[in-house]
Amino acid sequence: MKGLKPTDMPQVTQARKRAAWVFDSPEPGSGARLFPRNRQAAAASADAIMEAARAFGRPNGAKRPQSARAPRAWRVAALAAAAVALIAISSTLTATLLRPLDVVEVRFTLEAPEASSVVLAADFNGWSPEGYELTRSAHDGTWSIVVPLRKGRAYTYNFIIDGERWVADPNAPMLLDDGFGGSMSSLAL
Amino acid sequence: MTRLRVICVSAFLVAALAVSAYAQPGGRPAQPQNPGSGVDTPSAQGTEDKTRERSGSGQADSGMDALRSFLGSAEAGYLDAGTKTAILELAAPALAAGVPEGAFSQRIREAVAKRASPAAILDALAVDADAWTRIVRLPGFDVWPPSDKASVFYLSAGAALRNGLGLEAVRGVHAWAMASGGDPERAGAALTAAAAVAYAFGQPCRDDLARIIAASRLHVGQFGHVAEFARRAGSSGMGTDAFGRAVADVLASGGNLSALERRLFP
Repeated sequence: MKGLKPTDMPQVTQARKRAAWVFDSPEPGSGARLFPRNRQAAAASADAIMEAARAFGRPNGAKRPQSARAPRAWRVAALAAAAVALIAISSTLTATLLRPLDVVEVRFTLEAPEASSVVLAADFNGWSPEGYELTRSAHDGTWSIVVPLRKGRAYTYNFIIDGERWVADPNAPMLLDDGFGGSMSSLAL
Repeated sequence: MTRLRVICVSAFLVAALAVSAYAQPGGRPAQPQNPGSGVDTPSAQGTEDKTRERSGSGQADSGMDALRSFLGSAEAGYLDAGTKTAILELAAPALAAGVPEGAFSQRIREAVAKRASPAAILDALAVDADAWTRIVRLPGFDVWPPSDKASVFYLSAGAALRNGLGLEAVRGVHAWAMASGGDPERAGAALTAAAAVAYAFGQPCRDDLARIIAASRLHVGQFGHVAEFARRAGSSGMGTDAFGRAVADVLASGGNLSALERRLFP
């Protein structure tokens, strides 16, 4: 009652009446209450407090917690986009950095000083020598060509001298019968 | 809650990375390099393995169609109609048994490039078809090698049998591959190396040599050195039995190439 002015007296009286009502009408089995209370007013007050608590930190005008769904959807979409970007970057990096490790450049050489042309025919070019002409060294009669090949398997090949003579590589570690009356070289990488 | 969210995001990103790494293709260069890619091109492998048959007339038909199509193309070169018909006839049972069509077309390419006579081509293909058919009928060859590398394996295995290895050698390599998830290309390279050893000695080597090489700690690029050692050993008077024993002792016990060389040439 502190701070009330005489003009507030009707309110004080009303409060006293409410208190008296509560005091005189205790809930069954609860005993007498120590403090005056109006149930409806208390419930309304509690609702108001809870609503204020729920609204705490919520942007002005935001009425419902459902409004949080939109930002969450955006977060999921952003996360998915980030994952896709990560996959793309990872794939590119793997393709760029790791794949060359799987391929080695192999130099095929043949000493044929008298030859006017030497070509390489192999299983890796479908036994088609086009584009696989060896280059003659200016210093000696050595012919050579560098071919990028994938590691992890064995290849078979022959040299064709002057367009007609098929020979195996005398320097190849592996030599095999080709089944057509000749021999072929094999190289494991 | 925030910690849980961080964990979830981390797990998601790790999973994305794992999927990305798993999805990497097998390692063919993206761009051909000068003078050529040097890797298996469509023309090199042709219709390899796309029509691999296991059983059933439909699959065999598709293999026959692919081979017929190949023989009708310019790649068949100078082969006349009678030779082509004979090739189809001798290939039919092998294709029906499950031999990949790519093995046939690759051998025909080689034969045509070498200007082999039609008779020589038919003889060679008959030998190959017989070898491949015996291989494909071995137990377990209906599940291994995988179709994408089957032709490479069959070509190596055919060359191995042609050069003195027995069917038992192929069976041994297959058993190793089945037990360890071995790569068909590594298995094929091991057979090629063992065949080269036999070629170097001029007589068959032990049946388990290819399996020992395949199962060894050597990488494929070192397989050729074993054949090179065989050539050196042969020229120094060592027999194929002693060589095979040394390879088995060293490689089967986890030894490397240096250890094998020390053992062979102390």
